[in-house]
Amino acid sequence: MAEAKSDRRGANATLLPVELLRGLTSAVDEVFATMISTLGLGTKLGDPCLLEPARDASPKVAEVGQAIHVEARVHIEGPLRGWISLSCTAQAAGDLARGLLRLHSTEVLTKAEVEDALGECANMIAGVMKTGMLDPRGSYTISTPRFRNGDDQRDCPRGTLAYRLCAGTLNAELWLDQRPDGA
Amino acid sequence: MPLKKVLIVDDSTTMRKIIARVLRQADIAVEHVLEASNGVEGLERLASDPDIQLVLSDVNMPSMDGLAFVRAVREKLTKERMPMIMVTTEGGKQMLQAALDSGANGYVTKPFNSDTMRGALEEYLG
Repeated sequence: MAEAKSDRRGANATLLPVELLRGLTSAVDEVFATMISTLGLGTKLGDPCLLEPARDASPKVAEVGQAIHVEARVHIEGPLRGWISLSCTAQAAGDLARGLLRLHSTEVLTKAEVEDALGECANMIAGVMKTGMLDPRGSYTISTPRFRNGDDQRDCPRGTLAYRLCAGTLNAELWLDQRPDGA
Repeated sequence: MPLKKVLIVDDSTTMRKIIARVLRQADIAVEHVLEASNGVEGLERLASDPDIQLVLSDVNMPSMDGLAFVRAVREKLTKERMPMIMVTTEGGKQMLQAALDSGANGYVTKPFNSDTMRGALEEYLG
């Protein structure tokens, strides 16, 4: 089921303009580098086992997407409309949450805590993109983080960045919704 | 001289914990950190606790956003001198000006580190 969904995304979705993908890359870098440094983990982007950009610049979407269990989205409204999404396996999301909260790897977190951490990361990435890339080009608003419930993938232009964590892959994506009503 | 009580208003429990940790990392001594998940809860906390000396508030929250919260604190609770710092993901000039116009004393943009936090709070520390 998940593979079929991923295949559809890979086959039909068109890619984002390079400039937007660069903006997303820069926002992800800034958020994780700053927050990880803030938390005193002594690790930076690119270090093994944390947020290593996947070697394959165009990750095989079916492979990356098949184990996605947690996804946080922040919607963007303005001259461009769409959403920024962070998605990963439940285990990877747990690792990310423990990293942000500086908890030991054996600490157990609730689903709500894990979703909240992923949502906050998505929120910060959206905020950095809005400030640095979108606001200079128009009036934009961003939503509070939401969590995906069910399969509502669309054939929209999108860009995907894949980062390797200890326990899987984190996908950072920007989707553009081209429907007039955005519904 | 440590701050007696600091109120952190943010709809994300993760961010509330991170802010509390960053305060400690920045060597900002606080006896008690209180939390609220939106502006409505924040108002209730402030109305019932006169020992709160500093507020750190998110902007983008459900129920009552941070700008409305700060305005309400200034107008309804008449706490004109309460130091209120916005902690926001949106660092654009327009948003930062809106924060100041609402009555906030300053702002910290996310993502942040302990130096950024300390710089924003310096003038309110004992």
